[in-house]
Amino acid sequence: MPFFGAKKEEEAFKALATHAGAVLKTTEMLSELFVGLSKYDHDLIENVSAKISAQEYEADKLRRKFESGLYEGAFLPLFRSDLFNLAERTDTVADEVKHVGQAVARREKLCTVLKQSTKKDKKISAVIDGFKNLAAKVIETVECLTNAIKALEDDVEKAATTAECTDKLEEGVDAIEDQLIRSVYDLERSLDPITVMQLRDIVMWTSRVANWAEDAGDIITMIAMKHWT
Amino acid sequence: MGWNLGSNDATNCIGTAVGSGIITLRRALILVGVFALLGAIIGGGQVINTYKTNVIPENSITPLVVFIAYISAGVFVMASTYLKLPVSTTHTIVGAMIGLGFAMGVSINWGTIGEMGIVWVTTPTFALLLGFVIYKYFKKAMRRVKKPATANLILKIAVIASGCYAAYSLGANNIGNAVGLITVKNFANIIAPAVAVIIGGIAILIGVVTWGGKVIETVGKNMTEIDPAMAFAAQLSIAILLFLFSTVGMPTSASHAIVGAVMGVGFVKGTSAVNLKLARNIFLTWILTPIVAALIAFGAFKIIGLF
Repeated sequence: MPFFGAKKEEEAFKALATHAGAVLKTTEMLSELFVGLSKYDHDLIENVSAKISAQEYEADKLRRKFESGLYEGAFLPLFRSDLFNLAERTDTVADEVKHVGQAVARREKLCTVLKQSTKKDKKISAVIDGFKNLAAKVIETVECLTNAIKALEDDVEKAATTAECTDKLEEGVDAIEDQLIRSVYDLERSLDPITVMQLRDIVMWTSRVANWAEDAGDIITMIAMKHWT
Repeated sequence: MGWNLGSNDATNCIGTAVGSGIITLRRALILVGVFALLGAIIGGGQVINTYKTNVIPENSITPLVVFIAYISAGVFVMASTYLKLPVSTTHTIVGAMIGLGFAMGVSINWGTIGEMGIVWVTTPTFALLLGFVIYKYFKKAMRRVKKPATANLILKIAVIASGCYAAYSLGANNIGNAVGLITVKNFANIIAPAVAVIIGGIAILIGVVTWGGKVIETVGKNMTEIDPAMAFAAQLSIAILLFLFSTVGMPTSASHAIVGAVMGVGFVKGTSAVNLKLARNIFLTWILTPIVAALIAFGAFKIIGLF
């Protein structure tokens, strides 16, 4: 039930949740991106990367809308700075996804090299499939963050509890990242150094998406601790 | 004196709210000014009576005595305000009256001054305890409010309402500092007591609006890191104390009250949350205040007597 006189704040929370939803939508495109990579289909990758950029731009617009609500006087300044930081950090998730998309799409030769090398080394396709697992775990982490942000509107304690799962999921992402990077380095004999380095960067940047989600989750925990303990 | 009271003391009522960013300085000053004026007009009678009859004999309060008392106290408070030190106008004016009593050689009512002394000592102590208790329980109650938008609204209302109550209590308790001496019999032909109170209240309002921002910075931001719940607890503490003391006609210091209350709420978070060095400096200023005001008034009376 809306509390009389808190309309500006409630609208701000709705804008924050909508922004988080847009960030999740951007992150979900990582699956499609890595499907393109596993098919060595550069056109598909370019297409997905463009869609990611467009969706990231939408998320940016929503973040600005939320922040302008804060500047217009929603919330006490003490809450305001925390919520501002939360929106910024959540938006960094979408920014990082965009970087991953660009990192995969910018080098057209990547697909050609992978396609040719797969014929000689079957392990390559297995490693690339690992990218899809990584993306799935990253998406799960961002989904957890989104749920926490949505819960923040009604119950700060529930939001903090929900945000805790970003920590655990991010640990899972780290484990997959470590394993994948080792596998990528194992491909040194079949791939040229630039391709190896590019694949390593893609893994690292994808994993960083989950790191940002965890950081945003920490801000929610901090809000709960700061204002409700 | 009214102007000094507004610029130095009245801002204590909502300095914490400005410090915690709940309300803009401008809005805070307007609210405090208006509520202090109302407090002075509606609830200032008891304290005025104490000044009129219970410090030095009423018939010794001549226009010259009043002039020296107000000028001595006014200059001292103005200098303190300029230095951003929240001194007590109550201590200043009582100190000046004692100095004048000595200078004139009239009897000083040490009984009343002793009672005032007790009130002055207990004010920061009670404020500290009240601040501690109110903050602790308010924070506990706020934990039950899970929805941030609702918590935000409750905090805003609580802080602004307690600030207005504190301003009202301050007006009621401290108006005597500004006009207590000009409501005596010797002034009956010059100004009616009711008019004196209204003029004093308006002077407080002008003091708040013109120079009030200076002391707010010290109290609101430097003493301790203040959150909205702390601001509410501090303001409600001084509001209750000043209101209670004004109903029994005892003038006390809003500056003492607010510093005690802010320390009390700070102690809930642990001693490290309180700027003890700044608090110590302010305490020293308070001890010196009545002594310096008495010496200034004593000296001024003697010098004027030479002519």
